[in-house]
Amino acid sequence: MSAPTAHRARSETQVDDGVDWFRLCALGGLAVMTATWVAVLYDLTITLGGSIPLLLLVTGSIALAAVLSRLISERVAAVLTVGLLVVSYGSYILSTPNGLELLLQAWDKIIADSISLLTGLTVLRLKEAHLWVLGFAPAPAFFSWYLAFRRRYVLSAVVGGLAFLVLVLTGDAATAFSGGWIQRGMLFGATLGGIAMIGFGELERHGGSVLQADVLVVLFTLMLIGSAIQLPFTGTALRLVEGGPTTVEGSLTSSPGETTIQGSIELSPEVRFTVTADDPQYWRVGVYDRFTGGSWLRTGQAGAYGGQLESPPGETETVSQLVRMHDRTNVMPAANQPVRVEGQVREYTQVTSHGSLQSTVTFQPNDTYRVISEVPNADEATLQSAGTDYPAAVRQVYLADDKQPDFSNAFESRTQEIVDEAGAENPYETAVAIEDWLEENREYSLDVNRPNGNVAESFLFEMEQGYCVYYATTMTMMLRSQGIPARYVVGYTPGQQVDENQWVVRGLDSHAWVEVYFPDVGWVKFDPTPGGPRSDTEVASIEDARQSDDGQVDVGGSEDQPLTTTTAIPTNRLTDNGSDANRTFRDPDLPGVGSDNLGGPIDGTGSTPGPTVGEPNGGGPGGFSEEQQRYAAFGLVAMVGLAAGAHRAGATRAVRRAAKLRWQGTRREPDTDVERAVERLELVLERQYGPREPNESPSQYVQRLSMSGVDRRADRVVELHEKAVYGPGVSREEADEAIELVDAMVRSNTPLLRRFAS
Amino acid sequence: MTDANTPDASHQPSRPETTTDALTVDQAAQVSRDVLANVEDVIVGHPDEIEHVFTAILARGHILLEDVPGVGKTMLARSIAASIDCSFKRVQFTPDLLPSDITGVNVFNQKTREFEFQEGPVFANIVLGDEINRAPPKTQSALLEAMEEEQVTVDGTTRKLPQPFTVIATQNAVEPNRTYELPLAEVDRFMKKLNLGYPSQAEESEMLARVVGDHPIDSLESVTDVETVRRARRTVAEVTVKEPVRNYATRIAEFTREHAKLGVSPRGTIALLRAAQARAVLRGRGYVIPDDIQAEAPRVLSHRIRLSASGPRDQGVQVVEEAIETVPVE
Repeated sequence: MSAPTAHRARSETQVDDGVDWFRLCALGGLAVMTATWVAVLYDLTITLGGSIPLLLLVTGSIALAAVLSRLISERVAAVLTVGLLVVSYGSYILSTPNGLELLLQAWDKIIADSISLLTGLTVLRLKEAHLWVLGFAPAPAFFSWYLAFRRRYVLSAVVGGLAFLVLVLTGDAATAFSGGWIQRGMLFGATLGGIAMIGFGELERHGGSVLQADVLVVLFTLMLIGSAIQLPFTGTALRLVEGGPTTVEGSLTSSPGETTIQGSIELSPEVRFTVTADDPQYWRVGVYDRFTGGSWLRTGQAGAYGGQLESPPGETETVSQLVRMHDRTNVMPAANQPVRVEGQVREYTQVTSHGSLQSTVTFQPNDTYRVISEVPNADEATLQSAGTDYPAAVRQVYLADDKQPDFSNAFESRTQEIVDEAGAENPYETAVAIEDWLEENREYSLDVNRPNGNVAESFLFEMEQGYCVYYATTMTMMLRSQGIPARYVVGYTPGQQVDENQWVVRGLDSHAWVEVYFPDVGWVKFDPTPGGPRSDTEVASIEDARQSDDGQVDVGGSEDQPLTTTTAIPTNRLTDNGSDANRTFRDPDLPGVGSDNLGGPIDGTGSTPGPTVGEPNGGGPGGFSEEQQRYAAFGLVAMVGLAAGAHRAGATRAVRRAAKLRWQGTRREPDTDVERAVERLELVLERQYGPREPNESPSQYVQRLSMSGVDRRADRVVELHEKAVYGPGVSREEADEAIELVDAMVRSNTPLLRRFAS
Repeated sequence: MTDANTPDASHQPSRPETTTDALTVDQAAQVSRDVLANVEDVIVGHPDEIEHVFTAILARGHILLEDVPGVGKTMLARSIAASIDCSFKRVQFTPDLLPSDITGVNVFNQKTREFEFQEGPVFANIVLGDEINRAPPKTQSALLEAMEEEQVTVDGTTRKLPQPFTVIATQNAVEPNRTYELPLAEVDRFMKKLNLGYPSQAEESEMLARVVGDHPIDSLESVTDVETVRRARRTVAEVTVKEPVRNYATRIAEFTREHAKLGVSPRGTIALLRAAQARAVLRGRGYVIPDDIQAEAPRVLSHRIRLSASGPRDQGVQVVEEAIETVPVE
């Protein structure tokens, strides 16, 4: 009823000012959509550098699409896009260390890499991530705009949506849009933009009849469903940043590649594991090298443990640790730097690019493993004179550079001031000066409001209190601003000593500290967190928990043992910093020490993990973490949506058609085979000449087409068809002949294959 | 009385068919080609109509030609008859023509003092009934009975007509006032209704060239014989008609019944299939394909259709064309 009105309205606008508003709106929708996913990439480039090249690339791609949309066919454009992607991905791989080797030999690794990217691995964790971003952007920008300029709006939305989907799957979209309702609104911008484009595009193509409004209705319904799916997904992504697990440990139990700095936390008094070792050490779990301002990332890829690892270059002390788990986890706490893993657990061990260990399976309570570590124990004089001759590999990863501007100039000059005040003259003294300054000038507290923006800068300039994560983050960045390679490390402090060589490690022992690189020595531990206040907090927490009868607090006889502070091992520090570092309540003579209950016999079975090691209960099916499963589930839903969209665009029909065209199927009766061959023949012919009329028999159809110069092979096929259907039937040989002929015709009508057909 | 091995024997009275076997499809096709080529030496143009006449002969059908005088109807019938070396008789229908003028009469022979039957013109392989609509219905029906039953009954005696027996009747379309129009039930007995029409200018010029001097019909020689035609007719009767084709034919008939006041009768559908069988043989095929049905339908079905009781008679063509266009092949 109102269709003519709408049509007239459109004609009028066209007449009035010569502008096609529907088309403008459709392109506007695409602009919103493109802006959304480019914004995600832009957000990444703020961390990585290279924002301007990104914007230039995207703008250039769109301009190129505008030009080429008039010049080249869709097929050529598709090939061009795929080529663009392959080239950029290839050059990204080649740019990584051993890229060529990877490309040639380790396809499985590249595929595994891509899968983990699509199951929630943030792009930031890639080495050369800025190259990845720059390589990723042009192809979808070009192709989606190309299609839109050619009025293929549905396909264009699918391409743009795919680009956005990739970023959603890597989790970067959620991170980028975690800031509030405006950003979250932008998250839907992609959906809205795409829908608006398809809707207005359809209106434009079909002359703006209101009858086509059903398309809009369908799309808006889809959008509602889409947002219902996206909301919980966005919710969890936000929790990672704001709420998250309320312990520092949260990120330790699964050793993820990313650890986000949180606000207020609580520490769990539950026992995580016990260690049997000669010396107390900081039990390191994860090492991180890339700082995004709000979180730490581990770049590079973990590889399987393949035997003895490299020792630090300098003098070391060998520490043998037997770890017995009390909790489900797949981390492998070990002192810096683990060089050997013993027992069956070797098969499950993975070594990260930074030399820390993790397990591919989740340990069960009472699983044990043994790790031998070589701990650098250079004396102060050696460290003083170590110099700054850092290996290139260390400089590249652990120092700030142009591509990774992690701190502001103010941050750098403030650090310089602090270092100058202390009169430090070499990297070692600089590290000590920063460590001391942080210990003295910031108060320890678990009750912190997480600052917006760069955590290290906030802690240096604004905040007055914080906990280990803040101390360690800030110190790492301060060292980097001074040109000293440093990295952020998480793990556990030694814990409560319950026997001469046994330590009970609880959740509240989780800790973050700093490792600094010294040439010819290796990575040396520095802990800028004030020891006294920290252990006081821990003791109070354990006492509270004991009073509330928490069964997880103690192991064996640990409740009888005095609580040992855990920050008290100043490695390589000859000066005592005075914060009662050696406060120890241990009384080795106390009778009834429950060592039997604790570690069990060390020798013999000690190095063999329990039989449950192989069962990855805790990690979910297939060893995917819960987070990965969530992303995978979301990806699945998104794929279903995409499939629906593709169906709308007629893709499934095209695929089914192409399959039917190429696949004759199993041989049956000769007559049936010929009938099927003719169906395929018709599919071949209808693409070029239009379909057979219902009142034509196949032979009449071919005869009609013979005037248009149809392939003469068709004549024989339809002749055999007549014989099969109306006549006495065909022989097996004749049926095969028909199939053969149709196959040949399909081949000569397929691009590329055509060249090989005779 | 013994020949009952053709599929449609129940519709046909038994006839003195010889015991010879059917030709192969290829032989029958060859014979047909020879005959048609021979006829085309005489008749200029109308190759389709020539073929239709001959397929009607092979399919045991009769033909109704509706045309203006002088376009070569007689010449066509004569040259076909000459080509197959069979008897040919022509009857000019007039208002005073009696049934016995067609069938023949018993004449008392003075010498033998017995009644002798004197065969009428219907006793020929090909009978040309000129301007059939000028004779009164009773006379018309005498011919029509002969057509349907391939026999003639005079004074209680039934006599078989020769085989093959084909009637080519013409109707004058230009002077409808002085005619007895054939009732539909009788029109239905003709397998096909054809229109020759005027030749094109080139064809007419060619025709004039041929008639200068001796008329070619005079020197036309036969290329086959009656016996061979009989065997070819058996070949046609044995042509395969498979389920999809039968279905297609019935769907077309169904369509005409739905789109006209009076559609195609079952006799029309049978005629369609038989004409299609003959066409298949002409093309060297032992089976009928939808093409055959589509090619024969307009001429086999159109004259059996009435759009309305008083409407013009040639509207049936449109219905049949519509049916061919609309009814899907499969």
